[in-house]
Amino acid sequence: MKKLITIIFILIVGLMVFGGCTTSQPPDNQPDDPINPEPQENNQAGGDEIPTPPALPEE
Amino acid sequence: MSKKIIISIMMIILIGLGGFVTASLLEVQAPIYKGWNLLFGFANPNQLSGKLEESSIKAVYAFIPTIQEYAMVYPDVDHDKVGLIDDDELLNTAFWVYSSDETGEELNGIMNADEYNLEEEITLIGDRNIYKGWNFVGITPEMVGKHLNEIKGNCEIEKAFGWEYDHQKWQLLEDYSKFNKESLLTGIVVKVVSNCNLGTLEEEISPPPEIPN
Repeated sequence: MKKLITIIFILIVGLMVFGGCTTSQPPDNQPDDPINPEPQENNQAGGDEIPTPPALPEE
Repeated sequence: MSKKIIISIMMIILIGLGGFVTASLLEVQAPIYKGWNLLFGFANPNQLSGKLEESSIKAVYAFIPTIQEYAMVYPDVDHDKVGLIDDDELLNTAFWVYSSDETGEELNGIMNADEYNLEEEITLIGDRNIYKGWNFVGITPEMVGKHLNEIKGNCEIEKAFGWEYDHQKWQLLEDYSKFNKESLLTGIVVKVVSNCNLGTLEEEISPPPEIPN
């Protein structure tokens, strides 16, 4: 009986840990790096260069 | 007898916890074309759960409406700017996502659609803050089948644009531009004159007819 309860308890703790691993993480868990994110004109990715997003629509 | 009760309770707890873990991630689908895409709640390639490889996503940017500037969220995070807005609010906007690839296949009748997990529950449009200037608004299920005019709530919209994936350029949205199924979980940009809330118009229900004399 005690053995069964222990096994189920371990399973519950395991699920809690698993749940903790799969819950959402904010997008700011990446290392910080000073890259200028100012809006630029529409670029296509070339090589390892990080593409910059399209500028906002023209006023 | 008591053994059976204890086992039953334990099983219920186990099933409940399993359900909680599963429900914490909501899988959705949206078209992801080669090039720039506006996608609702997509902040990191690890949210992909379909055919596209995570390595296809080269960059993701958020738009911070309070300062009217872009902020990189992948591959690096601009913490100074991202920190200016709550995570749940940010994850209820549309993000710029650059993909170097596309599936080239239809999924549920939508070309190049692929699946990803939302990390935050979808907030009703009426509960999302819209700030003076530009805002990146995600198209969510309650907006499908409605015109832009029908979801403007108390906002005075100056301009609104959608993104043409094929031609990688902006497309002006008119008041009567309708949000279709294909645009679900993508995004539009809306410029408003002051802080406000979008929202669907509620039909006024007239009182029941009076009893005849």
